[in-house]
Amino acid sequence: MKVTQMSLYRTLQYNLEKSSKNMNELYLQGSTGKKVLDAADDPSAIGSIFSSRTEIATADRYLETIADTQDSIDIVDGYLNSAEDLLVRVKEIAVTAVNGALSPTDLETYADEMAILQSSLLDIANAKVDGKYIFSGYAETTPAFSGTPPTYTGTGDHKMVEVSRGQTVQTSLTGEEVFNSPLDCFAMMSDLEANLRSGDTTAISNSLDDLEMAADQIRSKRSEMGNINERLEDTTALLQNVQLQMSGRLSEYEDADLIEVMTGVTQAEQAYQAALSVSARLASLSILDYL
Amino acid sequence: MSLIAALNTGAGGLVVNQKGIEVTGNNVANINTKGYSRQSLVVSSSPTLEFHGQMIGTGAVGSSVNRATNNFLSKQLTEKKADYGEGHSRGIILAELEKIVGVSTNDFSTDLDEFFDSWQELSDNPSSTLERQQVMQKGGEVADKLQSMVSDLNAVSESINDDISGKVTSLNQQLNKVADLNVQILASESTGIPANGLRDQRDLLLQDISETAGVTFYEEANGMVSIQLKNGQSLVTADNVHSVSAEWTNGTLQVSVAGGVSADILDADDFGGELGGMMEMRDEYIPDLIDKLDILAYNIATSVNAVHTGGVDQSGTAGVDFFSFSAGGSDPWSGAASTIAMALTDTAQVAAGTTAAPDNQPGDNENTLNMVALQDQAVINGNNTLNDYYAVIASDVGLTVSQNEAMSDSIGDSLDQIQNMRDSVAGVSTDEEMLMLIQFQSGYEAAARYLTTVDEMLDTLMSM
Repeated sequence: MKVTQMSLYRTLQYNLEKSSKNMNELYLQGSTGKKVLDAADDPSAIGSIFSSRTEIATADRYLETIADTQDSIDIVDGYLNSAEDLLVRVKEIAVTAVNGALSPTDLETYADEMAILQSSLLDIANAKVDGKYIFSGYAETTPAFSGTPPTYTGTGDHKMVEVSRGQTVQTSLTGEEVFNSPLDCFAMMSDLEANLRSGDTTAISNSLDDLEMAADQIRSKRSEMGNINERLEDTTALLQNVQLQMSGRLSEYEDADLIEVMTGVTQAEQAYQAALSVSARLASLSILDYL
Repeated sequence: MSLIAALNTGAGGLVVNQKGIEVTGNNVANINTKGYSRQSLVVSSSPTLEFHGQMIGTGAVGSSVNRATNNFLSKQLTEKKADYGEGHSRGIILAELEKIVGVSTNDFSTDLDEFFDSWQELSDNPSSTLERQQVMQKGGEVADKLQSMVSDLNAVSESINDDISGKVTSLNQQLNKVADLNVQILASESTGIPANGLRDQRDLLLQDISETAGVTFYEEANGMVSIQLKNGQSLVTADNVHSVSAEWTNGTLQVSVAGGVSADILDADDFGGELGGMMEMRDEYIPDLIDKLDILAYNIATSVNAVHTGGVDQSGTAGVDFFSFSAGGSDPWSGAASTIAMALTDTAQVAAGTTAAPDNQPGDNENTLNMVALQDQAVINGNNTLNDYYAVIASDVGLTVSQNEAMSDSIGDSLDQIQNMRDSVAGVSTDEEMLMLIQFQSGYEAAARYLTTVDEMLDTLMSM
């Protein structure tokens, strides 16, 4: 086959074009660190890349939600702790009133303290965080308890949030289940106050069991939230794990292997150099030099 | 033979070799001329004459200048040019589409993720105006992105139309030129002179026309070339040209052949080459892509709306449609992607809860959880989640791009190969021409030496 000057240069140009394109692609991979920049780079990986990105983004969101939830559980826990302490004091007063021979003045003083304790408990039940009543269910703009005697005015709903795919947890308690049902702490305290004022120690003695149960009622709700908090710790670890795995998966599909790229670049550059030096040599080889 | 006659024989030798050098010189001069076919001098010996019972030759004449050609290769070359043109024009358009239906973190799939993420965030704080604002904004971004993808695709169609107009104009010029050349070649060759240069020009034009429109052509017995479209519609016969016209009718650029057998509108099936590739993209691929985006937009709007209207807004009244769109026509979703918009005007309209008035409460977040769940539901055909479906669309474009690239590469390879083969037959090689030059030069020298010898013989004769 006759090789003409035109076909020689055409082939050279074509090959130079191909190897410079190849080199350019590798440079792009090296500078962006990604091997999938367009769908055409690996069409079959697109679905996995998208789902990994979604997983990572949702895991981020879940982790944030969990952090928020844990904060609010901690706050609830703080208030319930105070409520529990308060009920301990109530019981102390009741026990003192039953056991000791107290003068009517002393009883009166205890009755006054009881009134103060009741209003403190009401303050706890109507606690606001971030401008929202935390024990009111969905009715976060309405105080949980109002009126005399205090009655529950919130809703019976628990706020649920999603903390991992399909898994929702309760992040709030209603004032009703904590302070009002089955035992009504406020009524109990007003009864106690009235009994202290009237010096009815028998009635006070009868109410001791109920007082203990009321404290238990609050304690059990507290531990319920504690359990949720613990579960959230586990979920956090799980999510962090998922995130790590998904980042690995995404990187596997999307990221360029830099060692591979650099090796490729070296190869491509060598090929390109070879092609260039052949082109340069072409011009120096001519029949005209021999005529 | 007389010595005078012998002088003539010598003169013939000089002329032939000089002509040979001229032809070689012409070849060398055209070494880089595109489409030039190597020419060679056909030398034949002059008629022999009888002298005293002996047949003696009377030298040589250059009878004609021939053009090296191979019909098979030219045909192959022309056909490959059509494939090359088609792949090339598709490649340019597809590269654009690939960017529009992108897969980076700035593209649609991330917008959709962020939209659902904003609902997730709202679930934690359903009464917050800030988070409600966020939901509306992210919803707006989803709708905007869908709209801008469609408008970008339409813009690509527009620029394809511009390109088609331009190509049609230059195609017509080329067709006219072929018809002109047909006439000139016939005129020249009927007088017995080979129209080498004209044929080179015409071959080159045919390659260009094939690259543009993917035509078929054949040479008539009289040397004229007829050109037809793939569907048999004639474009050039002898000196007759049926020019192609591209005209705007009802908002679309319609291509037809003026004064042809049929004034039908031509589409991708009738053309190959660049026009074929562009029409396929404009009439089939892009509308198909828009249709898929319509399906996606329609499903996003209807499924989000279904959840949203199932909830209640901040005032406890049933939620309104979150997305608005106007669609219809051939399919219920036709036009959804280009019209989808976020329909809420006030953050209070975001339906986060499910308990209707009068029992509605600001902390109710139940509907946000329903909305978040939508992200994982296979709402499209029961097979794909919304984001999956976008992945299907994007990877489909990617697949088409990579297939087209692979095809273009292999066509490029074989085109290069065929061009080299054509050159090996019809191209000009410096080596060859230099040798021819030496050959003719020495022939010329020999003829001159012969003349000197005859001259000396004449001198000898005269001085007797």
